Amino acid sequence: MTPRVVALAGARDRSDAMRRVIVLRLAEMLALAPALRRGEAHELHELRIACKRLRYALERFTAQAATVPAAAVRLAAIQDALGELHDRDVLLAAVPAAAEATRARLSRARARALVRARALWYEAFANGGPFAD
Amino acid sequence: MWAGHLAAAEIAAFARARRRFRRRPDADRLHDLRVCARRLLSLDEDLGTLLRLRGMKRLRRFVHLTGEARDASVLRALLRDACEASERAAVRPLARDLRRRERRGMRRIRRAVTRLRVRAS
Repeated sequence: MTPRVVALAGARDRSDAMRRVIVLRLAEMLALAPALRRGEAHELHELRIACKRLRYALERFTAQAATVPAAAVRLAAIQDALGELHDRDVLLAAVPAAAEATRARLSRARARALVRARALWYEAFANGGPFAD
Repeated sequence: MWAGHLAAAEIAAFARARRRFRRRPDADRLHDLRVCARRLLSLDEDLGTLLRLRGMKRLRRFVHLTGEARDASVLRALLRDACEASERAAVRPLARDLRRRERRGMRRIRRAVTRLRVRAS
């Protein structure tokens, strides 16, 4: 998904610009969150990229708010789990059907990565998580 | 003003990573360079209406190129770990292809990195 252009005209200062960037990138990420439930490869890849965009924005403005570093760390963990999943999806598409046991092993690792990504996501949005408020 | 400072800091980080990679290319240095390049692209996406960064098209192509080499390297390692001994012969052509893509990718990256220039205007 191509990231949307952030409207920064009239931004009063750095904090205001930061808020606008983060709100938009967060909205883009949340719009893709149903991918975690559906488990489809391409959608999960898009979600991973959206997590990364939000994380970079958060890290850029890390001095501006106390909850930012914790949120960035959570996002990095979700992104890692989604990255492991994506690598297995790409490899599964290339491994020949004759290598059944190898494919089965990769599929199991993919399923574990998805479970981990879901758990990390729910934790991040649970009470007390950096995205709860 | 603040946006210009942010851009200058990220451009400097990218230039340092680029120098390190050119001095001694390896997987870790390539990873660092790739991360710095992506951060610059992200800065351009986020603050593009305030900043004018030059060289973004070429940088985007470079990130794509590094992705190919990185993917081939990671997938080869994954395949090695996941492969059952009895199925080695079946996956050997894929492993060879990944190795070829990794080497070709690194050669292209070494050439492309010399032409990379990013600056704010």
